[in-house]
Amino acid sequence: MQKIELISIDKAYEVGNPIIENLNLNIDDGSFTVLLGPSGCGKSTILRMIAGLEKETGGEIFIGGKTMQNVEPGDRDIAMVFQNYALYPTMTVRGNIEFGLENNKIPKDERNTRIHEICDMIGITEYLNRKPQSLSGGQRQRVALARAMVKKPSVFLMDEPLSNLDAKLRSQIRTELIELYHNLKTTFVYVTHDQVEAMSMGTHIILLNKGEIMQQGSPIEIYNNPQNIFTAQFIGTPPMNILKMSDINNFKRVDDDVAYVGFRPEHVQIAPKNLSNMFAGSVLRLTGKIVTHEVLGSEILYKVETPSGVILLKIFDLSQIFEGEISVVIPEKNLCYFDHNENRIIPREIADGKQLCI
Amino acid sequence: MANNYVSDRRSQSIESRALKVNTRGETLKIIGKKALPYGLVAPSLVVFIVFMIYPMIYMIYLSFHKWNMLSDKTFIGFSNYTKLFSDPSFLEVVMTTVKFMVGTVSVSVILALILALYLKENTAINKFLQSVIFAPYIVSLVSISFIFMWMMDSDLGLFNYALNLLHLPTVRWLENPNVAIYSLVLVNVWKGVGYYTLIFISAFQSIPPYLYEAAKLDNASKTKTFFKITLPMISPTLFFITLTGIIGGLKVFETINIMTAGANGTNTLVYNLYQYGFQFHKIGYASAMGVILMVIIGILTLFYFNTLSKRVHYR
Repeated sequence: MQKIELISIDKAYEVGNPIIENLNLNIDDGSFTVLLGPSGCGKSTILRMIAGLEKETGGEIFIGGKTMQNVEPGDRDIAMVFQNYALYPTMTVRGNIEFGLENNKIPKDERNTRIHEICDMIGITEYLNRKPQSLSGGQRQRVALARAMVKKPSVFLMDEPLSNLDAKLRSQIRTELIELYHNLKTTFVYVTHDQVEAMSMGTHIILLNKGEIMQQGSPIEIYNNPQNIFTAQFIGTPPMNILKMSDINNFKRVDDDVAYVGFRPEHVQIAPKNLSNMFAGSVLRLTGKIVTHEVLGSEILYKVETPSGVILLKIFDLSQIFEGEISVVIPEKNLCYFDHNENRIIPREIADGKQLCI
Repeated sequence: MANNYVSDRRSQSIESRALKVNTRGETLKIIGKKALPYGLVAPSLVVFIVFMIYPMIYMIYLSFHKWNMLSDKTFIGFSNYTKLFSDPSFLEVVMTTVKFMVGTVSVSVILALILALYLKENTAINKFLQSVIFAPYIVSLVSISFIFMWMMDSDLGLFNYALNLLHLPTVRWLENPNVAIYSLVLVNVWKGVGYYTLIFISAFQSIPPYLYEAAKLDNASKTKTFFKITLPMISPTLFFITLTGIIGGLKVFETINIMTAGANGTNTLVYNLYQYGFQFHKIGYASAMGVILMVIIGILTLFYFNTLSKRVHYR
């Protein structure tokens, strides 16, 4: 259990083209921190710098309060799980798991006890003498996990470890990883571009874009309280609907700074057009035409064309499927406002207490 | 699938068009389809039979005869073989050949591995060095042998001139029976090492870099990484290179023919065979040698495949 600090980190693969500039980041002791972001946002680079596989151009990294400058990856007391597992194909499963222990000069007896303990826990004991290429993707992933766990590191680094698995296996191993985290109570740093993974596993999410932290916090906080349009649209499926204030006719704010209004697809009420007046007190009303609907079992997704733009709606009422012209009403408490720089603001009239807002 | 498709099409055409013409055309088509692979293989098969299989069988046949290329062949049973095995100089020839082969293969492979490790990064200077080191391979071994023969000349050669300049004792490169065979090894290594290096470089480059990252995280030393990851990963290449090296080494001829003519302890199997066959015209005797060489190579290859191939990792 160690905390990780990144202090004014710069990273450039080629001179004059920095990927990351002046990044400051704290990863708490014993947290399951997820570095989340679209591809190319620098999340893997950050992880690799923590691992020591990539040298930072500037700044300093501390693990457990100790500087990691000139500390080899093998001496950082970390273990990493790679996206493609990076198992040694020429060694057996046992050889793969044992390799790190051998190099760390751990006596044979203890190696054996540790290997059996971990393999029983993960359920790969029967494959110990097989080569990785005779294993399925899920089994390989488990071997990679075992190889990391057997070293009993104080920090686990995981670089999109589930993205090579099929959907069912992915959710299964996701659950196993959460269990594992609760058993080990070690610091986990997990890189992914999948917000579902991030939301379901992380205790702390760091959302990155183009090498910058867009927002960080607990999954609930990031979902409920996005600080900018990027976060609002990256978290949640489908993403938050964002409309330009200038495109909406019947809805005005006194505050000139308000440039966009957003609402989550699941936070709307929907009614046939002629019944739209039944929601009294609600603020934003939109009328539009349903373009498509997707029945997903527990919910229905509608794509609606309104004069203010295309919006997506997620409706949990399966009793009827709406068609044609409808009206959509979003309660004030579910609206998010953003300024011209796409940052979250609270309009003056709401801040003054005229209306209630979360 | 393909057959279904054909028969479907055929039944359709039976319905739609005149029966006789179409079935005949389709039948021809099917025959053509089946014959095509054989047709494509045939030329190389013919060449293989005429130039490989037939001479091999004829060599075995000749090895049981006495023949000087002019007289009639007389069948003499195994006496060519008994004579060979009771001839101490033949044993010496075999030993020389093995010495040459082991020397060439081991030095070339190890040297090539080391060079490849240094040249595997694709920098500009490495690319230049890679082509430089490969250059000898494209020159004919005959020319190389002549050049080295001049350079290794005891009195006028470049090698001894250099040793003289450095005030070191000179070496009788091709005359000293203890040295001559190793001089020949040197020439063959010089010619072949660039080729081996290039193959090893491409083998090294095909190893995925994440394995090295995993090894780094596993705290593996450089030496351990090389022996536990790099070497096993290139084992198919290593296996192939050594096998072809061994076969090539056992069949060495040009260098010896030009540089020493088999003198000074450099007489190897193929050169000896050539001497008996085409200088002394003892075709039967030479054929027996050829058969033995073939058997040695066959046994070695089988042994090599059976023992080592189990340890080779094929992806």
